[in-house]
Amino acid sequence: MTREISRRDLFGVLGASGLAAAMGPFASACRAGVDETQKTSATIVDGKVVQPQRQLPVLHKTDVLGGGGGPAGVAAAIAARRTGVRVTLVERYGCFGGQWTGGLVLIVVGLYAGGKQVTRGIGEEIMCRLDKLDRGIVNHRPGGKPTVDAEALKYVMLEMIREAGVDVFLHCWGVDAIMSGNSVQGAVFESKSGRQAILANVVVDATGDGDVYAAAGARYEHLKYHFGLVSRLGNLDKIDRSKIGPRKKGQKGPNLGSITPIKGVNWVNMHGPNADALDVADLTRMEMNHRRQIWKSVEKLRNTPGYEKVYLVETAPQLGVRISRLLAGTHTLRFKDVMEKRKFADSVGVGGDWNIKNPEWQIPYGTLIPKTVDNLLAAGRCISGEAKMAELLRVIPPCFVTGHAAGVAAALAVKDSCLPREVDVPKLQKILKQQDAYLG
Amino acid sequence: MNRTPPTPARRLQLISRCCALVAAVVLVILPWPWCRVLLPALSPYVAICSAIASRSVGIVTLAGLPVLLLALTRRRWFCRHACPMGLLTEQAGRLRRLGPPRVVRLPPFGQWIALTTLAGACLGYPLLLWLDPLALFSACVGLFGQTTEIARLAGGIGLPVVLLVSLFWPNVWCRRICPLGATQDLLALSKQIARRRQSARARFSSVGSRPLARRSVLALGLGAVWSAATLQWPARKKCLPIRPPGSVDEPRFAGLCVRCGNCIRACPTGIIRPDLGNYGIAGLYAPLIRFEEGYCLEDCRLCTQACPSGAIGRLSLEQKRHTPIGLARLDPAVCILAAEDRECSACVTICPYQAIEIVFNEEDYTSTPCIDPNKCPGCGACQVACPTEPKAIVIEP
Ligand SMILES: Cc1cc2nc3c(=O)[nH]c(=O)nc-3n(C[C@H](O)[C@H](O)[C@H](O)COP(=O)(O)OP(=O)(O)OC[C@H]3O[C@@H](n4cnc5c(N)ncnc54)[C@H](O)[C@@H]3O)c2cc1C
Ligand code: SF4
Ligand code: SF4
Repeated sequence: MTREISRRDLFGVLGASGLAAAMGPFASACRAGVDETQKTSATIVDGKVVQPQRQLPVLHKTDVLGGGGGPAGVAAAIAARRTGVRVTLVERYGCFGGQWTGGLVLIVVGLYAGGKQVTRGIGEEIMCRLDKLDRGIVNHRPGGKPTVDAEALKYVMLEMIREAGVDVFLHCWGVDAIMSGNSVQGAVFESKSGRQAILANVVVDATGDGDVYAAAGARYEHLKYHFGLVSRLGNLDKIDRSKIGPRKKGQKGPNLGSITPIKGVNWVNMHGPNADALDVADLTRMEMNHRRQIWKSVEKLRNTPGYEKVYLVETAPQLGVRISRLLAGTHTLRFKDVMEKRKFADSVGVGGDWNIKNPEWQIPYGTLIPKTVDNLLAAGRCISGEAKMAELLRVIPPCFVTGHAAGVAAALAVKDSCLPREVDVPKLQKILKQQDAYLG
Repeated sequence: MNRTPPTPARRLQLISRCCALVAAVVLVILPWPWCRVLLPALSPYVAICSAIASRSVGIVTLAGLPVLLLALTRRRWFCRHACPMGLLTEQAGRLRRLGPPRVVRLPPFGQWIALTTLAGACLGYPLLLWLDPLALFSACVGLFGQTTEIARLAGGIGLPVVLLVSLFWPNVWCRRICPLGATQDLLALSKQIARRRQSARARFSSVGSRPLARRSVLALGLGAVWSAATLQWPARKKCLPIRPPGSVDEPRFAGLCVRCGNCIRACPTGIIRPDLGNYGIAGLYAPLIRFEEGYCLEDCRLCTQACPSGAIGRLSLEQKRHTPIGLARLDPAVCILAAEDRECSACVTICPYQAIEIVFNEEDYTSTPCIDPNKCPGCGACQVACPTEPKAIVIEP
């Protein structure tokens, strides 16, 4: 009886932290050497649920461990591997791309500044690979805003990771950091195989939410930001224009979103309300409300004369979380610096403009390095910037750029046996340039 | 014309005027606004009329005091010893040696101008303040190396016109038209009259005194009617112009502004532009703000330091940040976020005053940028940043 209660409680705890969502087998085979006899269930002691201390099986050892397989994580893994070290990439879901694929955020904005392409490197390479596929990408031309097909992108990213020789664990949810004092030694993951450790010389946190650096005790800013749920509409080429009367000047039709590489299919954005992406109650509420809203609005559209054939292709498998944590790095990027075109000697990449005609902005290496924690680098939308920078930092191109830089820096730290904060920056910049990055 | 060699006194006078001309040019072209303020502000014509019209005496007004006192003691001292415009017109007159100088008999327009403007100033609208020679001089000289834009160059036309007039009718500007010269005359005359009254002895013949009295009454009356008419007129206009921060109310601004162009030149983002008559004739060539490329910077107050006439008040940076020049207004039908839920919040990101908040509507799932009128001074940053065409967010006066 006691055991049953504790099981149910444990399941409740797991469910509450969203762990139950991680399902399916590992992509790569992993050792099944777990000590089955070791009793590790949580128990109730004095009315409190406690987890007994236990030894964790080590799933894997690596040089550079990437947590999170979004644009930043994929770029980091490929870059680190190309710099010549062993790399492991761990992702909680079954594919790579993060918001770019799972979130259905298909459009890439912010590649350019003042008409010049400023974000290059691995992100550009991925889009060039998509060019070769049928219906892989549209608008991938100078000055354009490329829009990808999520399935083509998932395929291309997986292939590139495979070609690079990166070890992969999918369906693995990073839940803790392994620490020795202030220094990160690896991370703990939950999966169908249970709780396991991966040991690494350097860890790159590309989870978008900074899950690893938060667990490691790094300081950060916690923001409540708007999040939505993206969806795709189909049969837009079957709209019966004859049933739609002439529109008055200035009057707009229903919101049909923006084009995708597939004819008749558009993706529809959602701004959504502010909420806490680190609070499972908020995540649940958003997911439930957003789904209902999308269904209702598509229903309304189908009841509009001319739009009867339009249908909902899918809602994004991943909730559209934009920002949750921003690292307190050794350098915090300021919006003022961007607008005043400040230059940084330790630039590891450049971001472009989108909507506001801001100038190109350099991203200093310090924005990836936590102030107090060692052997850890951040990449992607959770790096160090003031809240006002979030809009610029979070779009896909700078996530690629910071991922690329973090990957090379982590590999250099391993090769030169130093801490990431001690990496020889000119050498890092030289390698980045050799790998076709633009540093401003 | 007198062709005898100049006396030492005249030579001294010439030297002092040349020095004054150089000083004036230097003042106008130096990059600091307070230097540029000084030249038009020296004019007692500007000082008196702007002090009356704005009902205040600021530090800039006091710059006109020395010349005012000199005018009371030494008739037209400023004209003879310091006026850069005087020297230039005199030289222009000399250029035309062909034939005898044409003598033109003209009424003393200058006094009419000065008195009419004075009357206007009493009602808050100093009509012809912009005819001040130092302002005309600043407006023209200040343009050097600044712009090649015809619209702006045209703002400096005053000085060339005066020189052209002087080429054909030497001395006409100084003796008959210049309101600054006339102001000095009027000051000297008023002192004489006052003194005569005091001593109760008619030492001077009454010649000039009686026509002056008649002229004064007529000119003051004309000024009052004219300015009252102008003050009524723009009020009927639907749309008011956006003026630099700290500007006096419309339509007083159009009168107080001497069109020296100082504020236009002071603005580092180039958003202050001369009004080419879009808001009625009264404000022709007065400065307007247009948000095309730039916005009113949160850490700048240069234009408020550049105005010699008090049309734009001097503001501290803190005051400027809280002095509205307009207010941002959103058209939700044009906004790509409000109307189409597209990925945009450019206005929110750029707003230096954190005046815009996106309000989410649970009912219809729309997100609309909302502007807090208590925080927004109308700096225009959002209008410039907004990616839509026409702009979804615009500054309205
Ligand atoms: C609704 C919406 C609209 C947007 N619109 C645009 C746009 O138009 N253009 C544009 O360029 N950008 C847009 N963005 C932003 C952009 O898509 C993302 O910010 C960008 O993809 C972030 O990349 P990332 O790699 O840092 O993080 P993510 O893409 O979030 O990737 C993080 C990855 O890490 C994984 N992960 C997270 N936590 C863990 C964990 N604990 N353990 C293991 N794995 C983990 C996730 O599953 C994910 O795969 C939009 C974002 C949203 C939400
Ligand atoms: S004008 Fe726009 S940017 Fe400027 S304060 Fe107002 S809302 Fe903010
Ligand atoms: S910048 Fe313009 S389009 Fe974008 S949210 Fe603001 S008002 Fe709307």
